[in-house]
Amino acid sequence: MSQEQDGNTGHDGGLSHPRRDLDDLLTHAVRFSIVAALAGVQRAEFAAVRDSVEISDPMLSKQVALLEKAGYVQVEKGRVGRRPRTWLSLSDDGTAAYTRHVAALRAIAGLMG
Amino acid sequence: MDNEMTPDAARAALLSATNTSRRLRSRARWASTKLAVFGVGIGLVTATIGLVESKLVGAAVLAGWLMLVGGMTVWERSRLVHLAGTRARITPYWIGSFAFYGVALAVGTDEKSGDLTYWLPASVVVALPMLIGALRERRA
Repeated sequence: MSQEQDGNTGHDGGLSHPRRDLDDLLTHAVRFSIVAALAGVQRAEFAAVRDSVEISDPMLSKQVALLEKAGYVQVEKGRVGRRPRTWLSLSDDGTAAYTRHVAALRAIAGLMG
Repeated sequence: MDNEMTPDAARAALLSATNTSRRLRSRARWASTKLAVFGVGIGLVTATIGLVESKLVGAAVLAGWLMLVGGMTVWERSRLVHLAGTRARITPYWIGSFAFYGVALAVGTDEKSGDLTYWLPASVVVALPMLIGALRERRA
């Protein structure tokens, strides 16, 4: 989570700026896109997420590993017939982090209310 | 990076997220297709059962239905994106169509056999719940 010092501590409103609610992990554009994609579905196969986010397999693997380590994304491996499948889904923690992050972005963008 | 998050950058991030989410969700519309195919299928089965007395045709329709069920099951298993709550949303439409199917057969099998004015509307009524479900699932 983004709990870094704001740098405007002398300013009364500095500590309540919505950027303090941004999630450090999700400020990375690719990770945010992955989580945004998964937020709209129950689960999706690795290849479908890769195509939707428009990144390479290694890039998706790397970012998913980080998100999984943070507890934001759940990874489930299985098979459909003879084909291996890797299913990705957003955890409850991931959903909560995404919701907070989007709310912070909307506040920064001036889209609240 | 969050120190650089300007209002424009935030708007761009939100827009990008919306587009990415939309792209993935567009691949999860298979339940709508499945309902539409089965809706048309059960309508055709209803009409055929009521209008055609040949046992051979009846057997062919049954075989066709079983092939459709098998084919759609395999097709469904190969879908790569699943929306939350799909089963709960589409189950009432399945129940609706099969309930109308049962009523249509119970009322018409003996007394209305071959009666176009009964079986054509009946087949539409039977198909309707699934077709409505398909339209609604398309917007889910």
